[in-house]
Amino acid sequence: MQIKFDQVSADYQLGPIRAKNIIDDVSLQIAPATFTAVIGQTGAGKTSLLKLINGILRPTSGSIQVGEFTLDHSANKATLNQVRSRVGMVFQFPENQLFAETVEADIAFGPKNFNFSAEEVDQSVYRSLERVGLDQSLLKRSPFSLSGGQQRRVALAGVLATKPDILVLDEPGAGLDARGKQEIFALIKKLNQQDRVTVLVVTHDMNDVAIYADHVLLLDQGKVITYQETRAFFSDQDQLTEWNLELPDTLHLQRQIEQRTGINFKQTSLTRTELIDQLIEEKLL
Amino acid sequence: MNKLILGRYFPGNSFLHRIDPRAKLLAALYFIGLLFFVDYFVGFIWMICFTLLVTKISGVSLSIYLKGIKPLIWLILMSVFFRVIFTVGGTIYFSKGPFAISSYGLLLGFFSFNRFILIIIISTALTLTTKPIDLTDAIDALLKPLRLLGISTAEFSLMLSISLRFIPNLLDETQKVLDAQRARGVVFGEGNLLEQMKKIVPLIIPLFSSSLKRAEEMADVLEVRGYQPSKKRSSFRQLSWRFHDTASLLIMGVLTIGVIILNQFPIIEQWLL
Ligand SMILES: Nc1ncnc2c1ncn2[C@@H]1O[C@H](COP(=O)(O)OP(=O)(O)OP(=O)(O)O)[C@@H](O)[C@H]1O
Ligand SMILES: [Mg+2]
Repeated sequence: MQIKFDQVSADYQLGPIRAKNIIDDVSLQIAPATFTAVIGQTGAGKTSLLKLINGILRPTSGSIQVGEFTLDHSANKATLNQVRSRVGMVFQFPENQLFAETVEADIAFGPKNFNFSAEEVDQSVYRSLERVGLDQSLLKRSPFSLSGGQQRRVALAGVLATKPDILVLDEPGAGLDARGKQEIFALIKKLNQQDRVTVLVVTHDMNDVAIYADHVLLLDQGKVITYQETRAFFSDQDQLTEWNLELPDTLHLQRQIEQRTGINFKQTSLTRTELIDQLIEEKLL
Repeated sequence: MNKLILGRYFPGNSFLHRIDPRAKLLAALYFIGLLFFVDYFVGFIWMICFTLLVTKISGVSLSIYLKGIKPLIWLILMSVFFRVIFTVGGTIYFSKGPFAISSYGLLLGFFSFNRFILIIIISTALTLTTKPIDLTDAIDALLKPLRLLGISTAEFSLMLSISLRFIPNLLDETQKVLDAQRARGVVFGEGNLLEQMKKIVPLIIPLFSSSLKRAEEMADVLEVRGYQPSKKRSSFRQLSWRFHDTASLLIMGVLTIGVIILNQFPIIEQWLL
């Protein structure tokens, strides 16, 4: 599904105090089945942007078009719930939302809320458990008896089970080991490519951005600084310096090799394979 | 979650902010006690005027206090309702079995309504203008006499300051879990009573689980750092009692005299009953 922001502003009301425009006049169009990495400094408004797509945070002005639904300041509960049934949101540290007695019941919670039939619920529970790479023997266990990494997967499965067309994730790799993180990202990528799910992921790791995302959305103080394709984004060195962004490891390596050898590679390499290919092409390997 | 005002601190520099927390706490407790000695309508007017004055000098607008009452209003109205229907006297407007609506009942209902509201406003004024940590120090100071009886008040104070310290965290966390379950399709505040109660489960369990986890971690940290609550210790923050603190307690005296005098004048009551 497509997502379209039209001059959206939003803030949080803290009792009497209003934080001023946490999201500030954002206009943006995200094509279906794309994989967007949302980056920006802490407090830039990344999480808030994701919440807007899911109707958890409502805009103070402007509107957001999610598929055929429109979210604006006065969106009603029915619309919000419909949007939420299409948009899966994985919060930061989602394992903190587990509550049911068994893993099975927890994963089934979302689908039941969205009125899946009993068979559909069963089917999607098994399917999403398999998706996140957990064994069926865990279904009857209590989610609280699992390891942190397993809990994270159960929580993720709980969101996937609602079969969303759009998946937004807030730092899904935070607090996981390198391997666990890579697996989660690979899984998201697979959903994106096979099921054509539109994905937005908040991450602080440029390597994830380079390897998995096809678009990059850079936020600062609630404003969109840039939204462009990943390769184009990483190709413009001057801009990256200006925005004070780190390079992904492979690109960093490429830049160093280029400096040492004086050869300028044709392409910006985002993955290891790409870098090796270019090294071979330039007869450096 | 951001709607709950009672228990929140608003940084500021009003006269109320600057009064010693011990004086403020004593005065607030005294005021609440005094409310129960007010007999007549005019006395309540007197107390209401004083409360309005307090909200005025706290530098926080009255609408915020009223917002603080909102979450509790149903509870208050319910107890007032029972007060009204179980009290009989004066003119009886309606009666059925043990229940009746009478002029006396309505008057008493009005009194308890006032008491509730004033207690909330005054406690809110106290917490809005006093840092939680200062409040704990004040409670600690006021409990000191108990030490003479061999009761360890330090543990109680520590418990209190830790609980107060974590209220904002708990509120933040509640908001997060609320959002997360909403994203999973829970529509809070809809359906019949039973359905609504069921929806609380996905909210409460994660909060319990994280609170327990945190309490355990906290206990471990205290132990690792060798904390022993029973030891006598000095205090990092020193409270200092000044003239205006004594003055604010004297104001309570004035308030009391006012109540005693006004308790002689059941003006509205005579007219009504
Ligand atoms: N529940 C809330 N109530 C009030 N203000 C909030 C709330 N959540 C976020 N903010 C404020 O909104 C701004 C943007 O927050 P947001 O969480 O969207 O940032 P972020 O880009 O996700 O940051 P991080 O990388 O630290 O997660 C921050 O200034 C923050 O203080
Ligand atoms: Mg965030």
